[in-house]
Amino acid sequence: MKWDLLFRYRMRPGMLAWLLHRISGLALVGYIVIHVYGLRALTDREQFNALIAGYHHPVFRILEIFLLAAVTYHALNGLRIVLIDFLGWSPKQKRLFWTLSGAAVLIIGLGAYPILRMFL
Amino acid sequence: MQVTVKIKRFNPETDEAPHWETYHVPADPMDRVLDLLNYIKWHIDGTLTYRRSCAHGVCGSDAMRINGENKLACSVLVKDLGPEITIEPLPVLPVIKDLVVDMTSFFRKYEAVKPWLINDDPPPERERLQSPRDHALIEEATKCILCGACTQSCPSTWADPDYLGPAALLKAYRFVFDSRDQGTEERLRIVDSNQGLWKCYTIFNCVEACPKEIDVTRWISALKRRAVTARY
Repeated sequence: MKWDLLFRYRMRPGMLAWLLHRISGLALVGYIVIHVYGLRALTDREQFNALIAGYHHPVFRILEIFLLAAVTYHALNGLRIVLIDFLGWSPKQKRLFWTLSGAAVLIIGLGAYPILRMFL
Repeated sequence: MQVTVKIKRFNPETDEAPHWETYHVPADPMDRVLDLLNYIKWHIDGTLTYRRSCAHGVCGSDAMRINGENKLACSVLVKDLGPEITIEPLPVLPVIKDLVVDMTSFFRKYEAVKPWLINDDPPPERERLQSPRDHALIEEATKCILCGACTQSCPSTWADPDYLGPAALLKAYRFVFDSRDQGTEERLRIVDSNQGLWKCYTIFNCVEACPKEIDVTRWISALKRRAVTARY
């Protein structure tokens, strides 16, 4: 892979959409590992409560916003890819990208607000 | 106006690594990038090497990376690029000299999808007829000039040099959806693979790069659907 090309080649919406999809996808794979690790504690009530209490730490709160962002973008761009590949919406791909990205920002903002408010 | 042209130069016979050279060229906003290259070659540095033939966007010889994006030098105007222009050879192909790349791998991929009409019926007395409606399906795809701008713009090609790439897949589409062709099965066997259709991640760099404004991804998607439905 010529990694430098990813940053030196002209970034158009299509490549940006794909890059963000890859990055959010990898982030979600990383999250799944942490998530499943947490579920191990499910067998013990005390242990599970302690773990969940740990997740209330501000660092995890902030990470939760990133999780929401990754899930939202990945889901909406996934829908964009489905529309392109299954319904042939290729000519509308840029408009789709901006529309769904706008929707993603809105959803992330709505979800992040109650989390951020706790810090005020 | 005066434009600054930065060109990535490389002569494998004498240079260890590519280097950049800057030229100041008098230009008209309506000049093409090819005119700038010609000016440099004819008036400043005769050793500058690049391919060009028809100079009118038909032969597909002068695809190169202009301001970070693959384009045809004869089809891009100075007014659309601004006073600073960067020119490099097409990405990830071996450089023969300066802007001339070795297109062998590109044409191997093209040959791999059998880019000819397959039809075992005895030839009719005159041509094999096709309705305007059937032709409309493949018309855009027939406009490909094989310049290589699309295939070399694709991150899937950058990651996997053996990926068939948009140009070859578009050609496969052009024959699979040709009402006169009977080679669908053997062509689908070739493109329905991890180094074929399924390495297209709808990144759209090919569509941006195509000097003939072909919506390559649209036709590759249609071929994907065809490959999937052919199994059932």
